[in-house]
Amino acid sequence: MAIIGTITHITAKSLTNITDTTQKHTFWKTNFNMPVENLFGNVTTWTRNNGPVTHGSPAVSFSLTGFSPGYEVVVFSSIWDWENTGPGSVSLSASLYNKWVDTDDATTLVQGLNGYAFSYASLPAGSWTEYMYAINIGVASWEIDQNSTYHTKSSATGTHAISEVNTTITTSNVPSVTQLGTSTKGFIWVESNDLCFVNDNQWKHTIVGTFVNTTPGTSKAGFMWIDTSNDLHWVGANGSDYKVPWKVQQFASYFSNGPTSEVNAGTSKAGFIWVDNEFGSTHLSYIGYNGYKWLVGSGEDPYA
Amino acid sequence: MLKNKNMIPVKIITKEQAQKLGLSNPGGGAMKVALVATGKVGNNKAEKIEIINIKTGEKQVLFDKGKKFFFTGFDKKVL
Repeated sequence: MAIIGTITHITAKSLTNITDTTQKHTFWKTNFNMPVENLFGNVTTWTRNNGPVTHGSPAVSFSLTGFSPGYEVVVFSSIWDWENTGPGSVSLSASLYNKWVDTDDATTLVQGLNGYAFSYASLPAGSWTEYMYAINIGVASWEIDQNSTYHTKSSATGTHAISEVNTTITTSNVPSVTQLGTSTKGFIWVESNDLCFVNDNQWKHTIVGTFVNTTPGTSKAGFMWIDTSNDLHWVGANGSDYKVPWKVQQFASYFSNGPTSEVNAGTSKAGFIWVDNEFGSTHLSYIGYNGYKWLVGSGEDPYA
Repeated sequence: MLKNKNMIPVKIITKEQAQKLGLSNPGGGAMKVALVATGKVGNNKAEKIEIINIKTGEKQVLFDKGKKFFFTGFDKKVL
């Protein structure tokens, strides 16, 4: 009887369901912890040492030019693999660990599995089994906050143990993560032709809008409204109409904590807008023309 | 600008007001998902795939040797 245990690390910008490529979530440069769609629904294909997803732009070195604090950077997948070379069946009973670790190679930044008990009663000879777990990380004083080398670590103890795998992840052009303080939290304003706000994590975020037309004129600068397509508009300092570059009607996240259903406030609440502290606390929320709650942010579209 | 009936003026409210109106609840978190697969040596494609609710340990089969299962989310859809 022999068991070969290995761990594969993949650090990537996005995850896309192999079977249904419309199910995709982008982490790179998107707002913290936005709701995650049914990424692993209808999965019928699993590739060994990769899992049921396509990892977008896998790498171990990332330049964060253009990032703001409060943006996600990447997602890290650990894949534990045991192969039974025979001759008889074997039983697995292991404790699994994985985490993001700080630049000192010691301090845990984000704990994924912490002793999760994985068992397999009788793995036949000539078979393999894998376990996969993914953790995202972003720019913040409590996560990535400097140009340096971070670590992803995974291991397994018990029967059959796998020695720790330590992968170094290099970051450059990391923005300042200094918070503004609580006094400006919730401010929303038009600055130049952009929509700015101070999010619930106390960082100024700037939404660069999509140009619509020059109709309003400078006397209307600073006006904001929502149209029948549920788009949030504002008038820039140049008098032009701009709208949000992306939006999503809030839904129940499949793979993270948060609301367990969408919010239908009703059309009587249409137009309400606020700096929200749901999900990752870096987005703006508003009630759209249709009465549902919509989310927008200064990061890129997580669902594109 | 806002006399057009197709434009709804925004009203800025605080997150506390939003919570009071039932529009928001604080909290959220990072994605947490675990998946298990098994296959035969010499074939890199899994023959069985399961998804696991990290909080409860509940497993659901997604795929098993050509049979297709559809994952509809666990209760409360929280992993």
